[in-house]
Amino acid sequence: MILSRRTGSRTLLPILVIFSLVVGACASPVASQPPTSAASGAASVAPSAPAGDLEAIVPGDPRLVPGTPGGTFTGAFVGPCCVGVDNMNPMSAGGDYEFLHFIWEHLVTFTVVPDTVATNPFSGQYGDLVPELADSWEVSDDQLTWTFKLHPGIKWHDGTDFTSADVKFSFELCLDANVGPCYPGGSMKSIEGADEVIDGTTTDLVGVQAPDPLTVTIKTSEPNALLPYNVMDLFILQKSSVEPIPRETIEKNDYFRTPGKAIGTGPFKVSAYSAGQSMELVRYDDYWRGKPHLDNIIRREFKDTASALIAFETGEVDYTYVTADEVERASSIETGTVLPGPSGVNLDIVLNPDKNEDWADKRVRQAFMHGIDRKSILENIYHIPDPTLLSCLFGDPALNPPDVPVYEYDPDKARALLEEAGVDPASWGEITFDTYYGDQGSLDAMTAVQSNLADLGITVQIQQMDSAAWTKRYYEDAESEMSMIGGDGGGAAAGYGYGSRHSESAWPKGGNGWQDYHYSNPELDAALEAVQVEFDDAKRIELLQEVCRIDAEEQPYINLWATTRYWFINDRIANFVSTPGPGMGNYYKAAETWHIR
Amino acid sequence: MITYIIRRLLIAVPIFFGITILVFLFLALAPGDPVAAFIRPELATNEALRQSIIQRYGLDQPLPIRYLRWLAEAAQGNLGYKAIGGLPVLDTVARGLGASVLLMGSALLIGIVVGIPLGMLSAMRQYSRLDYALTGIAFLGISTPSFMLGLGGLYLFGLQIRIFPIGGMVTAGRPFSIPDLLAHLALPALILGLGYVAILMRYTRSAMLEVLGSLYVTTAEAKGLPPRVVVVRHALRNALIPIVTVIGLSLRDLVGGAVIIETVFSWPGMGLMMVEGVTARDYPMIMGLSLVVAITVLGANLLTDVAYAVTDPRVRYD
Repeated sequence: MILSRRTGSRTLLPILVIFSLVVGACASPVASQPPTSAASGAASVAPSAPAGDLEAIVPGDPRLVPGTPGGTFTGAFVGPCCVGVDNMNPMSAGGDYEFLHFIWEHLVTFTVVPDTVATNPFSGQYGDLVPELADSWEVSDDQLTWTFKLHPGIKWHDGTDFTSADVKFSFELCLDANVGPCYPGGSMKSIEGADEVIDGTTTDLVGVQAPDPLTVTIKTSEPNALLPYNVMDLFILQKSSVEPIPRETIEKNDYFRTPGKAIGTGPFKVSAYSAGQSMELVRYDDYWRGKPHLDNIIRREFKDTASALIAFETGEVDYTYVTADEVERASSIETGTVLPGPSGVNLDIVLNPDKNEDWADKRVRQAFMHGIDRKSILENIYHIPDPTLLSCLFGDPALNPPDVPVYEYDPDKARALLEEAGVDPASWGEITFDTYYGDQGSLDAMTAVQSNLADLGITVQIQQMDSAAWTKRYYEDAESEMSMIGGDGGGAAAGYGYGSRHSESAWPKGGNGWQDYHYSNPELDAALEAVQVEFDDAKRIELLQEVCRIDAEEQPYINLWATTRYWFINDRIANFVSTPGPGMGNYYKAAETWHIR
Repeated sequence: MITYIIRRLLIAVPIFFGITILVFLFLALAPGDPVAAFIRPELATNEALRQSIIQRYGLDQPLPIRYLRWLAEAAQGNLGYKAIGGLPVLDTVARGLGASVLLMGSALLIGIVVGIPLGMLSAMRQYSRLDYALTGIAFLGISTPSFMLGLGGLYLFGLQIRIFPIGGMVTAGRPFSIPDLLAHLALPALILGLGYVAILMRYTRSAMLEVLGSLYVTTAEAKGLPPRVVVVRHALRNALIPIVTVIGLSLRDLVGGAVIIETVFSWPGMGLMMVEGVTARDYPMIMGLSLVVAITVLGANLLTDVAYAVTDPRVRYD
């Protein structure tokens, strides 16, 4: 398995919208901020990795130290990750994914490579796929059928056996439109029979079969090397307890919030719920990876990261999100460790060629890249020392070819490119530069961009708005001229950019473009298609480098920087593994080994 | 009086419908896709799912039909379900209402109990050092932004002195208890109460000064009545009329909540719910909250008018 990043979904998911609302939703909890505004999205590239072991944290890892049982971990899951304590539906939770992973699990999950913090606690970025409910998986010789072997002996929280029937049921449930939104469903359209389930022709997903209690086969309609990534975000639900619920009422049902009703396979189970206030989990003694150390996990509702940080200082919570502005203060608190990591979201500037045909010329987009002093913005506004700048959508250096264009800040070169393209920025008039990010950091960054562009003779007017208004303006009305968005981070689950750059992913089918416009490049399309069917990891890296080369050259979305998020953990919690990934953070967190030092 | 109350209630009915119609219209006219509220953003471009949502919630129906459908359901006690999370709106609003009434009611009570006596004292000792000090405190209370007071209070009393918990209504993980609830309520109520203390103190002082200069007060003093009797039974009684007005206007805060303080203290009140609902375009939630606020404000206005009649015998309603 290759080192991979992941964000949204491959075909149907509008990556830009995902991150716009997930990220947006997170950010500033102050009521004046819209859904999320995103202090999250505004942060910058991860700092340099510390020295130390960079092997991913896996189950049974020797770096996970033994400890004594007992104690309660209290988390303030506030910020970009999360919507709220009431958001407990594992199919549509989106931003509260990370918390739900204590209760429900997936077939496979990512590891975390602790390249930002490796001192137990651990933080970094996604590594490879590792088993979770599935012990192993392989593809047939014709590359159409994947076979997942399930881990034997797993019990649901009510003591019954977990089987392949539960897996098949979970797939079918997710694709059933009557159930309501199911986030991972957008990634599963390559499964045979998926379309028939989605359009309601049948409830039986023929492409997923359960030939025996410990085997699941998934047949795709065409070779798909990324299938394990496509299905990894699906939480597996218990068929016996969920199936009796009428499907059209599932999203309103209190099943997922109610102690005794909510049944999962995870290390903790729901024990108490106070609407709008808290969710309490209790240890599941028969967890298949071993009896968890902690007695309880409590999630407390906070709407403001500043308040949550104060609660951390008083010892009321052990874990909280901190904004880039709060990192310095958090770092001064001796009882905790700041955990930075890539969010999986790239901050992009999108230019609408329908509003200005000059922007269809890649030289103009390259001029924007050279004309914005990204390094200075990251160092001075986001306080990121020695930041790594993006050339293409992939932040991973391994996926960038050696000769990838590097867009250093060079106003003279920017002017030269504009001249070469034969455009006069003064003729553009005042351009509205809109965004759904409402936080101060984003405003500061946009102001810096405004100033840089003014040096090139480009005049922009900043306009911040809430996510709903922006979504309508950008996608449906196609009125945006220039937008700052949380863009595709190039993760595997998103098809390494397929969902945002392939012409087949044109909006509304996918996240490429907006009403009446989508980016189309046959060369990039071919490169992306080749990636989806390349089963050899080494060859796939070469293909991804080709994708990066084209994307860097073309800049369909001007790749400003990869954003960083920050969590803050109390040092009394041992074996804490985290990565501030996007809201759909699916990774092995070693929760069963967490304990109080 | 009874006739008056009945008449006011009858008038309130069309006002109530008017409010809900206006709110419904504003929501429909607001920028943003109504489907987006019901669907995770990452699935917003799944056309089959969009159509499913549109059909299920009747979002393709004309506005009057949608409003009447909502009204019919609301009349049966069904306010729908939150767009995200799926919680019943009625339960959520009821919970928010309880939290807001508790918080704002406590703050208002603090304002009344502390502000009115201080206002009386300030008026009776006009231009004294006490008067100037109280006036200064009042202006400070009115002028300081609530988020500053909130975070400052949290930092000082929650972190430094550590006499109050940080956020929430109760301590998670422990059984419910009144003392625990009061401990969580104290700081946000005190901070909000400071604002009411300041306002009511100033209004009381002003009203008392006007009344204390009246001839009948002079007459009462000349007749040899004790000062306490003069102030409380005569002066205050007449000064209460404008004070009742201010308190009556503040009753709507009981349901409106205080979004900044609710955010800082993670208090699940109506103010925060309304802002979250609006920014998320959660239409069922917004309509449910608006319905409750409309009913409450109409009732509060009626209550205020009735209080006038009680306070001032000269006020008679036919």
